Amino acid sequence: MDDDVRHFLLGRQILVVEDDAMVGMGLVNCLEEFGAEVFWSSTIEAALNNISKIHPVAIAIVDFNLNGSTSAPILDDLIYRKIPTVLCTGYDASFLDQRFHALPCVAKPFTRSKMTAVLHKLVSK
Amino acid sequence: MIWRAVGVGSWTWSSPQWWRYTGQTSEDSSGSGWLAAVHPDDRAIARSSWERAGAIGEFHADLRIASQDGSYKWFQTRGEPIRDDARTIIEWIGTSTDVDDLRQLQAEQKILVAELQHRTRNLIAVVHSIFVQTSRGCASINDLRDRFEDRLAALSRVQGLLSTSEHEPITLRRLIEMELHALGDGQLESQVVLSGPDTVVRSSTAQTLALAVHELSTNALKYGALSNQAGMLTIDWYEYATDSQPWLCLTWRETGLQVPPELLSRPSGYGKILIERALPQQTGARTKMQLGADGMNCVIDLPLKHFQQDDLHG
Repeated sequence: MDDDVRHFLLGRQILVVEDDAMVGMGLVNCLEEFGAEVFWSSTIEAALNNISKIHPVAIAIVDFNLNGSTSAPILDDLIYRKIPTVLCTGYDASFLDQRFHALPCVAKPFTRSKMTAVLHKLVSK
Repeated sequence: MIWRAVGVGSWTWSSPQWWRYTGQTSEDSSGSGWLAAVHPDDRAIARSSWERAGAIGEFHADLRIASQDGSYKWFQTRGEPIRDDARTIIEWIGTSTDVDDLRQLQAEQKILVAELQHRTRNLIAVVHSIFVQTSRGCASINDLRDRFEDRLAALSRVQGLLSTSEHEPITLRRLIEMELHALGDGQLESQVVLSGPDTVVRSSTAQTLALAVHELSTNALKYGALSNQAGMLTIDWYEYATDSQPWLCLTWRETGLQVPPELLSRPSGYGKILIERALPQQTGARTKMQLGADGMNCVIDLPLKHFQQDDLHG
């Protein structure tokens, strides 16, 4: 399974939206080990900017809570652009708006293998 | 507010408080007229509670009741039956008590609990991330244990500061002193010079900044200016404005080091990534780390007002 993800991520551009420095650092490192080129944003503005600049974004991994506001505007843009998106959240999933329920969701704290499994599912679609 | 009823919720009397609050007259509220003052969404609850009441010998329902001005408040409504000698219910006497503030508090508490859960999970994610990254490039289990314990202790210290930050704002000086004091067992004062104003650090920045200071301090202690008596560590900072936004410039300067430069290829990957990548990413800071001729130099330019988020929250 790891191999599929590694193969898929190699050289791909991945968008990470995470406002916590430590959590972001861990995730970015993990993806870079898989050979991905990671673009890390911590704010809504920076993320929207990255989405419009980077072509193509292979996968986006987005924290639902950004400094007290939600990342809904980013998710809406990603869904509109049909970019495969994984949602990360420290909240109960029931907090999410109905329109985001279809997105694969990884609860924090997530393990490397959990994230890999979700990515695997996403890339083998 | 007190009322009397017969049968299945047919009111026979309501107290003057009911009239004053709802604007209904005694006639208005009689029979099932009182239901008109109950929120439409709660009427079914009121009816079904009455249907049960006879069998269980108690009426109990939380209902929103409209005041004269049309606004609704939550009332806890309870009724007790009066029985004749044959234990047959002949009448009900009940009260409706304003529990609106209580409901409000309960709703707020629910939000707080969810927020607490979010923060707890996030903190565990931080610990997890620190562990995974510490495990990289560790030579042995003992090495991993020591480094991880060190970082966990630093995280725990800054959590301590954060827990009281509402009453006691976190100043940069406190944050640095706490870290150096913890690492040096109070023995470093003669080798460290701190100078700068009482700059307050935002809570959202404090954690990452404290971990960055921890990495620099650990490094200085193990390999840098604080690793021998001849070294000096000077930390100074000042505030300035760019585009009418307040910034902080912090300079970390180690001098007097007499160690061959080839031994200076530190801090570790973790500290370097934390300071050069993670700190800028989260806080919008600009950082520069440089190994000078006689020790580590690090400059951190930090916006004191963060992106848009502080504006949103006032």
